[in-house]
Amino acid sequence: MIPEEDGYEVVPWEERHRAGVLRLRTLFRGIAPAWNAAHFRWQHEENPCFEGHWVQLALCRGEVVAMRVLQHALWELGDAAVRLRAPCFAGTAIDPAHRQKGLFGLLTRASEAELGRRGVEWAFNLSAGAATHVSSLAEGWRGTGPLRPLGRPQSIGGRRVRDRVLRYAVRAARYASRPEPGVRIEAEPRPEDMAGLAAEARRPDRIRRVRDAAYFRWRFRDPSSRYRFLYVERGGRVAGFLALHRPAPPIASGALTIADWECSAGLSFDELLGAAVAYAERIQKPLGTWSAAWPEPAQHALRRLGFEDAPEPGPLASSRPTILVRRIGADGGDAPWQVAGVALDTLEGWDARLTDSDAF
Amino acid sequence: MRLVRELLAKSEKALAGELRDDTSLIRSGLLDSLALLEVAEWVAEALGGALELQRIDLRAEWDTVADVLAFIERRTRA
Repeated sequence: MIPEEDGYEVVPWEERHRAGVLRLRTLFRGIAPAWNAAHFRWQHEENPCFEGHWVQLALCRGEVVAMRVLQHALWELGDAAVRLRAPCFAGTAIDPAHRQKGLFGLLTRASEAELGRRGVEWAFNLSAGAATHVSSLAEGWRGTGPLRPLGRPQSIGGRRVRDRVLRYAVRAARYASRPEPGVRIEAEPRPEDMAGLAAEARRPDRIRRVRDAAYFRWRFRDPSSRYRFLYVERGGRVAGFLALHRPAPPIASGALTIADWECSAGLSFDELLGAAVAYAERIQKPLGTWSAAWPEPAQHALRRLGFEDAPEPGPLASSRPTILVRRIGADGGDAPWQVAGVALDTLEGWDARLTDSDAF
Repeated sequence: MRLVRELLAKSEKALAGELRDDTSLIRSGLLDSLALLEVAEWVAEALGGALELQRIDLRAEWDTVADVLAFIERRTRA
């Protein structure tokens, strides 16, 4: 416990703080308490990597007024030989009545000290807002550079793009009518198939989430999200998938985002992406993704299908989504921020697809 | 630097004395996250272009009013 001169105490999570944490989350998100409690349970306690709550709280007269929350995550590098437990900061909230009191820095330093005591070497932030981004940089974090959002309106009038979408949609329908089906659109994930594809398609030069069946089973149960899954089947097995996300009510958003995907060798991205675009057009929704999440050939396919760079939010790079990285206890050190030869403080070292949509 | 004075006026963190050009703002915790964001937006506007913050050591280059002004001057000249 760290008593503070301004009347704040910084304390780690205890079960008795749950109600205060949920109150602060509800205040911050402006959504129903029951929904918020379900999301908190899913995000942390149902997470297959969960090792207990790693949360630092600021209390004022015994009430939770600010928090920095870590979410457990397991990563892999190289040919899956190196695994790394590195939590993600996810869920910073400061009661508006207690802002401008230095609580962000206080909680960040307390969180990092706790990580240091636990022997954790790395922490990430995949979903920082602009203020958290700037302040994290000031606390010694590094940014990888912008993830470059791409968007596609719900319909595009250009004849060439429309023809291309139509061609993919027709091809998808043709496959679907065959005994050996092509693209299928389903409401449920297929965790084992997805994990099998993820294991085949590793990118050894990048850090990436460990995507086993338990991960996929949990990830797509997010109560704040609704998903549709596009599967391409070949020879009786899933050869590729693409998960489309949109927020669940009461969160309002008209846009679909590409939350995750995988493609086995030899299967074209064009077919999967074209089917996603055709689906988005059919339900009349805009479609978005990160450019940085895709290999170069897929980026060309996205452009051909009508995706364009999202407008710049302003001159400040911190307004753009990025990945933030922290080497715990590494203030001022010159050693490169690398694990197994992979640089973690550049976008080239990341498989960024998992930071899409709901930030996982 | 009027902006910094205004931001600090919103804060209840007490200044030990007058805000001077060499008063530590970041290392001392005087500027909270939202205030620091406002400073960053102001600097970006003053420079009239995109500002890649991840390339800047904010603690070293923006810790005081004098540091921030020197940073703007360097960038303006470059």
